[in-house]
Amino acid sequence: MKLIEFLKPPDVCAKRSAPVDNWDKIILTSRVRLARNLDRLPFPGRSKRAQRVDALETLLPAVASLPPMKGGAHETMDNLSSIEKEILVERHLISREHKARGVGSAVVLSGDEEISVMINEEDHLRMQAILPGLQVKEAWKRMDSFDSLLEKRVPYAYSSQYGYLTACPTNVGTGIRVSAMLHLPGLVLADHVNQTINAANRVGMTVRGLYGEGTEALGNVFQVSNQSTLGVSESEIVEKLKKTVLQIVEKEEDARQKLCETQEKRLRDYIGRAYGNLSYAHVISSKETKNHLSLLRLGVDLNLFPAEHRALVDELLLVTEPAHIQRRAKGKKNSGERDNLRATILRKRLAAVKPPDNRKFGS
Amino acid sequence: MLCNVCGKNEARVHLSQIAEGKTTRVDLCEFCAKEKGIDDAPLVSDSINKIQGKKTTTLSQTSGEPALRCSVCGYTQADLKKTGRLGCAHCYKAFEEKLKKILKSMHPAASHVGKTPEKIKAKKIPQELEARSLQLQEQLKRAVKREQFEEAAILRDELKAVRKEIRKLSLPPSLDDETD
Repeated sequence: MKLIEFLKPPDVCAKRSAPVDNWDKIILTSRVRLARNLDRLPFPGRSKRAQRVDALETLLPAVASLPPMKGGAHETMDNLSSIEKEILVERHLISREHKARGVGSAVVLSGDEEISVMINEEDHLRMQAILPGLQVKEAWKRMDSFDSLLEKRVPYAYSSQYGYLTACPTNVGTGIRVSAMLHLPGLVLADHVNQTINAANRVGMTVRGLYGEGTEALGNVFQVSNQSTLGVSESEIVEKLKKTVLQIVEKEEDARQKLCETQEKRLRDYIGRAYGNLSYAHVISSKETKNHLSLLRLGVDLNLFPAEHRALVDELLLVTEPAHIQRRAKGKKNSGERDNLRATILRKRLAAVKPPDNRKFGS
Repeated sequence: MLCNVCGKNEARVHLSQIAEGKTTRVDLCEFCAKEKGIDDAPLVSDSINKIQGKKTTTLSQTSGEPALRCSVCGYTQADLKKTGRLGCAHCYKAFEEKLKKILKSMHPAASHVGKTPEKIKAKKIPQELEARSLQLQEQLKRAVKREQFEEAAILRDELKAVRKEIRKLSLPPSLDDETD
């Protein structure tokens, strides 16, 4: 089966992000990523084609045959079309950087798509566990045991002084990047995002946009992750991230509360207009869609829409992404054509959603 | 600056060698450099040795200021500066001095804390056992001196066990490596 056909349908993906706890409304996903390298070959950036293929031939069978990958799928990057690669990026299963790779690189997914491994990205191995809601500890446990199984099969580049050796010195040591994806419309509307970012920076955490390094915070989604990897243990990093994330969640809740109390009209106006735009637009860009869907999601959190619509919003966030639209349309579409198709999808799906409730308010 | 070899022409090629923390410089004119076969970067490491008739391991080449080079993957200091990335695992040794500063600016400490591969942990055990063995020897000596023979017997047995363990773990790793 082709890797893309293996992927779960968007509505199934969206259901997985249904909140378990109250703060899961704000915390979308938790992720733990480990960077590892083989000791006998240069890092991918320095490897010649034959060395990259050598690394791939060593790693792909070793990774794909691990018990947690049973029922999963894998594909080499040169066998994927650019739309297929982009779909994997939109689902956060591979990085933007990995999308640019071809011969010698591959991606391996577990059956539940919660574990994904990139072979020959910046490092020989970039392995991640991504789980819905606040589950950083669980994600670390998952990755730790996965890594322990793999280290029995392939010798890692490791030094007792510097730990796991990585192509970039920002990852050396534990090679771990722990992150959480947060939906922060309240802080954005209250104009408190910069304050929050600075506070996170002071405790050694980085705040970035939706797709990680160097990307914009589209749809009010931010990624919080650890900066340091050397001289701090994995469990310390996981603890610290969790603490920081919960502090940000608290700030977001406060901001929402305050907006409800002091700027009710403005808030209703934003959410109502977002609903109107999404429901009646005929041409709409990806960026505009994300920002309006973010407000719709906030509307669900504030009881202006029924709770079951949260999954619909999350599904729409995925199916209105450029590559998802093109896959559905079964072919390449330019940005103008995509904007039309996107609006059609939104109009159709939102026809079943009643306008925001004008009575109930608050979370 | 005049050429170190002919002493006549202006030196245009500058080579620096950093070995065991000491920097040695050689300055040559173009003619003498060519004569010594120094016109290709990867060969430079041998060149200084050729000129000085010495044998060393870590080497580097520059035109201007001293630069380091990884002897395994050939990555240069300029590559490191340009990309901010390293070429291979050995680069961490080759550029150790430069890296110390970089790592200090990125991380809270300079040495690793946290997960260690099981195979490496297993290799570390003999060191810990070695220390335990020395400690037991000391205790045994003292016990004998104080004529506490009962305690000495216990210590002697434990020492025996530790030494046996060390011998077992000191076997080449290839003998018990592929366990899965």
